[in-house]
Amino acid sequence: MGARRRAPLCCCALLLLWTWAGLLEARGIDQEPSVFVSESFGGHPPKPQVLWLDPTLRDAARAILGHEPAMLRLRYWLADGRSAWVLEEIGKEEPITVGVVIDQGRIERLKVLVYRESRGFEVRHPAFTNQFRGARLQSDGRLDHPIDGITGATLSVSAVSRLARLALYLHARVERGS
Amino acid sequence: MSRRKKWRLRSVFLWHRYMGLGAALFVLILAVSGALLNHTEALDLDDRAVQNAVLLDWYGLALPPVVSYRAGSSWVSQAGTGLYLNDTALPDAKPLIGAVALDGQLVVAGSDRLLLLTTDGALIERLTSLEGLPAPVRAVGADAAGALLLRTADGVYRPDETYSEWRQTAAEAVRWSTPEPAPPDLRDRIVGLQRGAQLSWEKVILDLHTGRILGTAGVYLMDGAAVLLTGLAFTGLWHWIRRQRK
Repeated sequence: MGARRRAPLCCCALLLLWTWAGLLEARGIDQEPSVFVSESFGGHPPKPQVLWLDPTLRDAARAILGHEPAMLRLRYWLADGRSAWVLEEIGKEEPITVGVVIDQGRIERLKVLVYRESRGFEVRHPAFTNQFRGARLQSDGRLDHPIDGITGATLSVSAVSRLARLALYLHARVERGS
Repeated sequence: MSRRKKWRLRSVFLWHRYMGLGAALFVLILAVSGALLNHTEALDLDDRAVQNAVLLDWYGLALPPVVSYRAGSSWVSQAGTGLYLNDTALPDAKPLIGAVALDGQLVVAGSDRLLLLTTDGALIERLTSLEGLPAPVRAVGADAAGALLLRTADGVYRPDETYSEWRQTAAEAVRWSTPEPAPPDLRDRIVGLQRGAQLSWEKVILDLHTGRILGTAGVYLMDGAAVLLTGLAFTGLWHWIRRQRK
């Protein structure tokens, strides 16, 4: 087979391989939620606590998420002013599971734990999630610094951002309560 | 105009007429289905499930097996991949192990999760191993005092009030949740919902538009319609040009 014929075939093979690799990377569990929580507290997570979404909380959650929260109560882990949350939000069609650790009202760590969509998986990369470090919630419910979006992952980016804002709001609420 | 030219013109016109007649039905189908597809979101066609039994049978959507558990005055059922509280879809808790009605709550157990629901079906919480749920769950039930119990491979567990801690306990006088046949009308509704959940009206209209609703033959039929419509356009245009030159 001549070089002229080999070149297009090689390109097709590479393209297929790249697409397949991309699809492989698309969905999956990056980290078990239980491992995330344990890591966040140095291997000794506190006992989870329960937060009922009373009408005020539900209204706030609805304003942040843009829809009714899926559950009537949530669990969180709180020790020495640091809280960890494992929350889910629909990206385009499937839920994205995100772990958020908050300390002194700022996001200390945010990680996509389980990604189920077939596209937009770039939100799992530290290059994206590291943007949330140090973020606070403003009085208008927005983060105090902008988060750069990802082309082709708009819905996933929006879902993760909403969860970050919700976690900050909930942290403020439980900190006041404790 | 010469006789030959007149004959040619008339011949093209006849072709145009018969092509038009032949394509009329396809034009109607394409126009109506195309217009509907253009407004899929406004009409919510992708979210509307087909309930028509003839269409569901045509698409070969099999009747799913239904397993039901009675929980108080409610029924929790699994039909294929769907989970239902009476005839309302629930979040995923497959495979369904059982369901129990407690004081003011319903507990639906899957092998690796529990759904805590209000009696009207609102989701209170979903518990997994993250929240300390012992798994895999093999059975769910209640003791004589109405307290929830789970049976796993390691033994029987009882939760605290907030389901935060699970402690092993002796299994005495436990009424374990077991499958029961749901009322026939409920079962039929669930089967209809589950079959329909696999087929949206958008899909049906799209298949009609492309001919795929009749399989490969339908696709070729629509290809033929495309040829007819193309011929219609050309013969019509040709005829018009020739008439202009007369």
